[in-house]
Amino acid sequence: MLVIKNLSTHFPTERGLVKAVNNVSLSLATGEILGLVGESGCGKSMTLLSILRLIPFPGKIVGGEVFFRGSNLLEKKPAEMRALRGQDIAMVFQDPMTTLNPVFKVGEQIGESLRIHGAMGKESFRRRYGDNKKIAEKERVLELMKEVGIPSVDERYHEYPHQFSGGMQQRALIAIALSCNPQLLLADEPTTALDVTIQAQILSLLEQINREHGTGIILVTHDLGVAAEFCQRIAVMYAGSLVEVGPTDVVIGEPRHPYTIGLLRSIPKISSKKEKIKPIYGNVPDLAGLAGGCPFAPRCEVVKDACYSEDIPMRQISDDHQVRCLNVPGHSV
Amino acid sequence: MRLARVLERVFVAIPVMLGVAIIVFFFMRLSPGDPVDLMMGEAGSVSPREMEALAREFRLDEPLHMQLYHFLAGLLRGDLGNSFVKRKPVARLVREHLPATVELAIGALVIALVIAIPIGIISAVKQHSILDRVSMAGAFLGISMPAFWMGIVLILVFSVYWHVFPSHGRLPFAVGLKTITGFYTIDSILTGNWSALASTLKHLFLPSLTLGAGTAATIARMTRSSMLEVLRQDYIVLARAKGLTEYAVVVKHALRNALIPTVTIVALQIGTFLGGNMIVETVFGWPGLGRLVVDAIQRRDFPLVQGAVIVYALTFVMANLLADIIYTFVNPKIEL
Repeated sequence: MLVIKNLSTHFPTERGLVKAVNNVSLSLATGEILGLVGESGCGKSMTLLSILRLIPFPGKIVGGEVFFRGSNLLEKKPAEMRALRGQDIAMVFQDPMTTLNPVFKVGEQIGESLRIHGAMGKESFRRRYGDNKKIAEKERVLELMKEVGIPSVDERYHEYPHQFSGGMQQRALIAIALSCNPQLLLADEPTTALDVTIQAQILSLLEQINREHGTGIILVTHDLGVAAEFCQRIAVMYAGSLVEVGPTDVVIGEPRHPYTIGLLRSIPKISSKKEKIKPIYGNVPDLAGLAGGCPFAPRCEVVKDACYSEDIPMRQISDDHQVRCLNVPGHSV
Repeated sequence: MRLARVLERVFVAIPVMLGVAIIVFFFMRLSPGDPVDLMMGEAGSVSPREMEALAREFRLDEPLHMQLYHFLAGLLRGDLGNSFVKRKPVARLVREHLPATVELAIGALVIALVIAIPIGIISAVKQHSILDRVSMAGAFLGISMPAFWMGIVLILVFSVYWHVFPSHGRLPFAVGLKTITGFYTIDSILTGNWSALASTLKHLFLPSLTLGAGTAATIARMTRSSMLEVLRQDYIVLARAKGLTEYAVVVKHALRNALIPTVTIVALQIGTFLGGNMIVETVFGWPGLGRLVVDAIQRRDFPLVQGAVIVYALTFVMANLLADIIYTFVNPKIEL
């Protein structure tokens, strides 16, 4: 359904060119959930925003292709792009507290996407909600609010975002995303700003949506644990580049890239035995000063001289497992 | 609930007004210069007995606390007293001059908003563009230029050189407008006197521009900066991700939020427009309350100054209240 080829998004800054998304290739099958994992600032969010072509100034998509249902999004006219946003591709954001517009009622904000895309005029919606667009829209909004688990929807419809808790706000945002039955949902750390118990609820809500509507989801998270539990495939990103992509059990069970291995080791485990967690030493590199070679090399335990000089290609090591590391044998993609 | 809060605020204003009245009462009497002396100076040679008679008529021979008593007692009855100089009830004088001032204030407000809001929005959306730089430089000029200077320059250019706008007054007598409300725009519409309406608007333009320029500059800068702030917010990204056009993103989602701070400033400016336009009224010979008061102060016309200042205080209090009320409408997080 979604195929990204060699996508690059750059930000010119005073300190130099930041390659926030560097030659990223990814694909998502219909109804699949893909986890995009990495530390903060590694380009995960920018990858999602590049798909929607909503890169903030002064960033720019400088190369690559993004095929959605066969056509390249990067070649679409602005109006065609707008028609896709919110209708076929919807996004859920990281911080629900600041993502709802504070001056509009929540019900109004959920209904807005329906109105922009003229959803209530469409045959499938008309059959279900009737011909009166105003009544149909409200009906649809209330149904969406119920679906995402907002209680007493009749009152909540007329409330403002500040009257909602963080978890409820994120549910409202998911309702906005779902309103036009999108085929692709881009979820940018949807649970990071929420309490752990609420996190689990929101994740299972996304899982339910995926199951019931067949919505493809790209879940961006910095939490490998969340990705492991929730996604069919995982892509690990480091400093703007993908370093390992594969099915969840393979990436978690037999990780090959030193960064993925390090990430897995640094997750604290709950067990009676006290194990020391092993952090990855060093810091995420400054993306503005990135020279050639593997960006992870300065922190890598198995680094070789060649790692600094060569641009390392992605290598296919089994059918669906790709790794970008000189230490891993395999043929280039 | 909201009405109860508003009434509460109105009642709280009463002691404020009373305090203002008492302070003005004393300040007028503390300032050097005696109203009777000033009046007699104009009349030429006057006998001491005539001066005593005048002082008695104005109750200036009574002790201060009795004067204050009469003033406050009159105030409670709604009687602001009589003007020493004009020999008319102060309330009537204020009522006659207030419409001109209010009309000018509204004109200034309209001009300020019409200029400032679009400039503020466009400067923010096209930040660092030529238009942004030029309009912000203009705004800086607008804030810095004193009203009397700007008024004189405008008169010179538009009245003296180009003859586009009149330099003085509200209407020429020849138009023959029948006054009903005292608001010439309204009166000319009510009586269907279209030439008077055109002339009224022409007369209004330069003084409104002069009075509104500083405020326009303030509002434009304010709108720009809060718009810039709002455009960085997450909910703007969401609005774009919903598929809204850039116009809808800016005008619907961003502007509503960006105007929250602006609205407060605007409402407070109404008070300033009504109370701070003595200079503009003087420059343009505008027969409003401001000029009446300047004149009354020079002649130590105690009752007239007191009455006018009370009206000013009232408009300020009301403008503040209005600001708070409007604020609750634009910002759902705030209640009165």
